[in-house]
Amino acid sequence: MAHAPIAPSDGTASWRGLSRSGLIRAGLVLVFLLASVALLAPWIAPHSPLTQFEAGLDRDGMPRPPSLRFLLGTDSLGRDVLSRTLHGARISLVVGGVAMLAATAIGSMVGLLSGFFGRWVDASLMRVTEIVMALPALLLAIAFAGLMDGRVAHLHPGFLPMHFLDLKLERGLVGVLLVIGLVSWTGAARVVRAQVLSVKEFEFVHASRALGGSSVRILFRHVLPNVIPTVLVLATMNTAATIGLEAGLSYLGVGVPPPSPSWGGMISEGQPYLIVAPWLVLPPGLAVVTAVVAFNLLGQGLQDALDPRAGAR
Amino acid sequence: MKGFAARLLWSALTLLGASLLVFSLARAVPADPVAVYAGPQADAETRARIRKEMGLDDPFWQQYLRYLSHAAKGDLGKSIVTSEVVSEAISTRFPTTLALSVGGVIVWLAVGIPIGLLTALNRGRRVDRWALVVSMIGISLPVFWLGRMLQYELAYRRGVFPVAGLQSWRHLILPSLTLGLVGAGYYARLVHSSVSDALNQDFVRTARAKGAGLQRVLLRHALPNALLPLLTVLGADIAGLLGGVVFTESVFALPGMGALAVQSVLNLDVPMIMGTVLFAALMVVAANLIVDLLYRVIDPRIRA
Repeated sequence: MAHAPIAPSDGTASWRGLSRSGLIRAGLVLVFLLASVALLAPWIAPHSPLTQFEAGLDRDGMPRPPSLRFLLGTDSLGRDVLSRTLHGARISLVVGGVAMLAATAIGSMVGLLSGFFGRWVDASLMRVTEIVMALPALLLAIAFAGLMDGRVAHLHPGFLPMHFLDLKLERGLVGVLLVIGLVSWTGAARVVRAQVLSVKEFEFVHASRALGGSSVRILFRHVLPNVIPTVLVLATMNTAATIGLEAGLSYLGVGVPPPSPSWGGMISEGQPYLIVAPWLVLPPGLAVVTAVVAFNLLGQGLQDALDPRAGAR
Repeated sequence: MKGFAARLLWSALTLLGASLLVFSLARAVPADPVAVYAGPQADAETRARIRKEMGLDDPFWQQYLRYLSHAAKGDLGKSIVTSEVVSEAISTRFPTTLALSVGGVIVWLAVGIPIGLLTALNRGRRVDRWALVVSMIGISLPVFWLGRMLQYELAYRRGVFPVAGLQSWRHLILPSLTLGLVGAGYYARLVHSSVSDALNQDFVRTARAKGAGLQRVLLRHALPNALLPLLTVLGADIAGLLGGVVFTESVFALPGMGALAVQSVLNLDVPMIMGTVLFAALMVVAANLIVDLLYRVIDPRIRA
């Protein structure tokens, strides 16, 4: 599924046992690994992800299987699969991360306002949320990622050294970020709202109000800090979902445009060769699974750790 | 039934809101339907004429109300690329998508419920932990990748299933499996937690004390306890399921709505895109209504 559902937290022995034995730790290690690969890709990748090697194709113009020179083989254009997979981590994490930030920010804001102010603010914001939820996120995403066509936004972060991530945020990329962010915020809005509603009834909030604390003060001093753990869990799980969504959009050809080494795009480019050259499709697929599992593990671990219900048992 | 009437009205309003949202977005994005329809060689005069014919010069509200009044009569316009009537294109492809979705849900439940029961009965043991790890990986699998792998191994290499296309119901087995296996882990955990909760409750302990066998306790007491949460999540997952359908149809070359949507996006076929997205929203709203209705049947407290 494009958006990984949030696993229910039941706080049973098995979940907690696993979290003690390392749900969070496993997630953290994997996320750290991914981030390192993304950051260090140009130095650890044996080749450039875009170079089309003459030696990368055999006499019939077919991709070459794994060898000492090309550890995971080459793709249909003679490019090094290992280098492309490593560089793919950058795209995946940047798109997943930025879209997650957008989605979580929008969702938290909507949930916060809705839960805190109640009445017509709540009614109207929740109605909008329901409408967006009725639209299938993926369908909406592919529709509007596709329709973004033609808009080119070279968003080069010039203030960062060494071309930072070497990503030209072209047409697809900006569109993809926008679109994923715009369709993924509803879950966060509902969860944050529920959390705010319960925090609002805490005694210290009542006390603060009785002492004459203004709404804004209560919102930012008392409610917000108590919602942050929930937002943290949501953000982590949202990252898993947005990484999956980016891979899916790129796979369908409406995400990150070629020749950028996006994992979804690599799978799509490699699948015509699946029978003769399975090494084109396996590495990027395993990479997506690893990335999504990493954030799901971390999110689940955090949820177990922060869930008072689980702690009480 | 008063509550249900309100729900019905609310569903209609949700659809109205969705249509406004989709319409606005389609007008806001840079893709220009005139350019698609007229082709690259058209001169400015032709473009202007087409723009006028399409009614794109009219004020936004007028355009929206016109679209809406046509849509209410079932007329979603015509494709600007293939001239196919949008509503016909959708209705010929809908049965495939529906069959695939139902297949996916069946796999969710057929895999999720037994595993959930098994792990609830063996909480904290090895089988439970492994099921957890496998579920975690399962919900993290990209549908399109899993689909290709299963297709390669089970259809192409072993010949257990047909590879692609849709000639018989057998062609739907592997796609349904693909779609279902990805979400099944989630349902396994859900059943696991509701059943474990139930097993700890007094009425179950009483039943056990009165000599009810394990099977009876599970089927009569624990599993019904899992039904409501299951239904709630199922309703919420319909929209997500449609996402999986898009990929599955693409991998197995099934002529469904997902394939239609992707093709029309690649063609920049605006009326077709709007039609499919809106129809999908209609499906989601309808599915949620059905879930709501089932809820009332199952839980007497809501019926009052």
